[in-house]
Amino acid sequence: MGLRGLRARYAQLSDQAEGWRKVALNLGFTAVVLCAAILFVELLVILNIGESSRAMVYILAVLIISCVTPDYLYGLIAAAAASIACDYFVTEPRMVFSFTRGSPITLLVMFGAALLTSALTEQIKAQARVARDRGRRWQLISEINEKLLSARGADAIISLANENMDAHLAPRPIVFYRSDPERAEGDENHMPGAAAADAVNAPNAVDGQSAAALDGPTAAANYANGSATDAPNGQSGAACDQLAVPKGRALGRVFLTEAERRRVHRIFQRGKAENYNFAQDKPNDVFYFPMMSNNNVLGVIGVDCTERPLSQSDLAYLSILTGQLSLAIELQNLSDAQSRILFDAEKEKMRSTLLRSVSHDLRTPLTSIIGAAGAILEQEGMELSVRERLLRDIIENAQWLVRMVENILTITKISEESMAIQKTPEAAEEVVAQAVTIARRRFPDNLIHARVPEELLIVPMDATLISQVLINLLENAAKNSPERGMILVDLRKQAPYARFEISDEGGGIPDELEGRLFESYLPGGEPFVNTERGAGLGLSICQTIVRAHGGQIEGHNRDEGGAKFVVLLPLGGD
Amino acid sequence: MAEEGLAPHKLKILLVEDEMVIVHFLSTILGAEGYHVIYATKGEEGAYMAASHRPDLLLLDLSLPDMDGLDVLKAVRAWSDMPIIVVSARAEEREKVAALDSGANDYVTKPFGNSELLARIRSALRLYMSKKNARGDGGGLFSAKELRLDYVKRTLTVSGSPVRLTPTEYKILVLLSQNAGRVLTHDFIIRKIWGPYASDSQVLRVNMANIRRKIEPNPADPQYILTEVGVGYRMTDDPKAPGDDCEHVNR
Repeated sequence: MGLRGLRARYAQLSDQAEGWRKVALNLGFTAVVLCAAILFVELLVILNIGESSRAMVYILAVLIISCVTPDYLYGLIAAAAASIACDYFVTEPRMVFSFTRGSPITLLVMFGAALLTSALTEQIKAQARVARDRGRRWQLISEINEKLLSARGADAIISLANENMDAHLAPRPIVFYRSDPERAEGDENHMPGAAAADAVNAPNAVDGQSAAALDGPTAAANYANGSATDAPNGQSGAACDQLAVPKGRALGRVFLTEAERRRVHRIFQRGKAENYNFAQDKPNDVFYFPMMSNNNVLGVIGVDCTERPLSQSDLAYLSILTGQLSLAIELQNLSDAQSRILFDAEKEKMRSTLLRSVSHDLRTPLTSIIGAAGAILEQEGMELSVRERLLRDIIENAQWLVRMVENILTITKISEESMAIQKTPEAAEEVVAQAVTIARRRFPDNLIHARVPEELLIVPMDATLISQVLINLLENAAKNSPERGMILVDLRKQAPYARFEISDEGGGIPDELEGRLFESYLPGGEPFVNTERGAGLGLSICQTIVRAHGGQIEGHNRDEGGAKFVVLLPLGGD
Repeated sequence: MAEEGLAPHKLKILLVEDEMVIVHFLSTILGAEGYHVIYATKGEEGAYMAASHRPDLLLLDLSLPDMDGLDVLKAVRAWSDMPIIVVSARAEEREKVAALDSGANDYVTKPFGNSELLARIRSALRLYMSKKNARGDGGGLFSAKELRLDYVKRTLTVSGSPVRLTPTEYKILVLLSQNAGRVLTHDFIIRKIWGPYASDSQVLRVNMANIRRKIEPNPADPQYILTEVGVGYRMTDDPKAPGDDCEHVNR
């Protein structure tokens, strides 16, 4: 806060000094031009020429002075001085104040010339100012637009708006409400808001000066949620100009208080810009500008002008900014809605893919179960070994169905709402141990060995889902392994991740599948699961789960032969 | 698989299950193992039969037509400490924890392997009998596979070599060994070890990780203390050396 605060204070002080300097400069200029005129007239006298137009020289001087200086005053002073000089130096008798009958006329002419010129100059200057303002405004619009266009996401838009307002409205504290603070869901806004309130007050407490409060409110503005408006220029402008400006009052104490929340709530409901005096005895005035779109308030910007009222140009600036902001936020809302729709479509696609592959994959084992059981029932005198083989098939197929059901449940667990999962800190080694135990029971023909690090790795996860991932990977490895093939599960820390590696000594990943191992279906639209019973589905579920945990999954062929799958999950902790 | 003859007279098992297919095959299997099976298809009937028949063990399904199986569990638990094994298709961890915390001795998820269920039943009966007979610490000594825990001398040996434990680790191990074969939920262990106001399961995890490193030959592949992720821990009650009690599901 220090540097900016100091700079603002300096600007205030130098404003006064600047005023006096300008007066001195203009007076000096007036004197110099008048002296030059007198000297020139003296030169004409010495050279004895232009006797009739000597008075004109003084008129010219008055014209020049009125034209250049910013005020009528200097022109009038010059006119008075010039007519006196004219009486003294030009009219006969020279070098004496004669105040003849001609003098008042000269004086009147001079005054007339001065007034007229000043008025004309003033008009021209005003026009130039209007043109300049207009240009500046356009520049501002295009600047803001350019930035807003490149901003992605509501947060980016708001922080951009805050920076911009900070730059233009310093040192006034600003607050930006993205949503109505009185609404129940606003809770999420309350907390950061409350935290930010400290930021608002803290700098003031230290500094005790208005100008220094900037960093605090900016932070507040970044946290509090909000948006902007078209401020009706005229009304609020007039109101603002009447404000008293107390010096050295602490700023920002009104923001994010209970009273302010109620106030902002009203503005959200009414959708009109207004100012409010929070403490009747203290002129703590804050202006609120709602940001409108189709009669909806998208947000509210509050500007504390206790220390410095808003000027017309500030209001014009706010009007432009809020207009652009409401456009940008509206646009952002639309694009959010669109991406939600896309997400839903993606989810729908995943679901239908799952259904298709499931209905296919359920039929196969069910057929063989029904067939085998029927054969046992119907054919008497069946050989014992045949009978046993059929029974084994039934069990195997039923068990496969169980795994399928587990995976389907897993999928529904994730994709229900926005892929959000419930994570709790779990010991990674316990999940590994459980998965290995289950896999060993299911695939007794493989040797499964597990290794964990000396250090206990705590990973935030949904343990059932991650266990499912490991089981799916182990199942995949077991299917692709030779009899008594070794499968190794290795857990280690690879900061900031916990790294699970499952490697086997099987045939490895076929070339045509590399790179799309985790796709649940092939581009042809035919479910990938057709080729390798359930494997494709299992792997795509693994990927979905791992991604929902913010992790990564990859599959490679090992140099020594066989495949290895690596899962990285972000470690917990600070 | 029936090793030792379980008892001179037949042990009675009450099966509360509304699916007749499951009742049929369970009766067959349990009958073949030498148990006497009675069954109820409704919760109320089940609770009533538990009181009138006084079975040695209750196999309870949670989804019953007339009432929640958990309520049957609580009703029976209110007056009896008979072993109760919940057999349910609900596989969510919190369902398991709820059942275990309501007094179930074990929780078996459908579908299960026959041998797994039989092992759990044996285990629950054994624990119950040993507690009933010795009303205390099972003779001052616990042993499973290569692990020997001496409650009197407060010593632990694995494969003959002594293992040093911190007081907390020792307490946890004693608690688990006294309930060997049974899943103890995280909350239960925490309450028993650290008191009713402690609630940090992280501390328990760290302690368990340390114990694993001290007693397990390979902490990635525990033999003695098995983890039920999201639920709790179970000490093995297999008195003999290697061979998992659940290994033969596929046979």
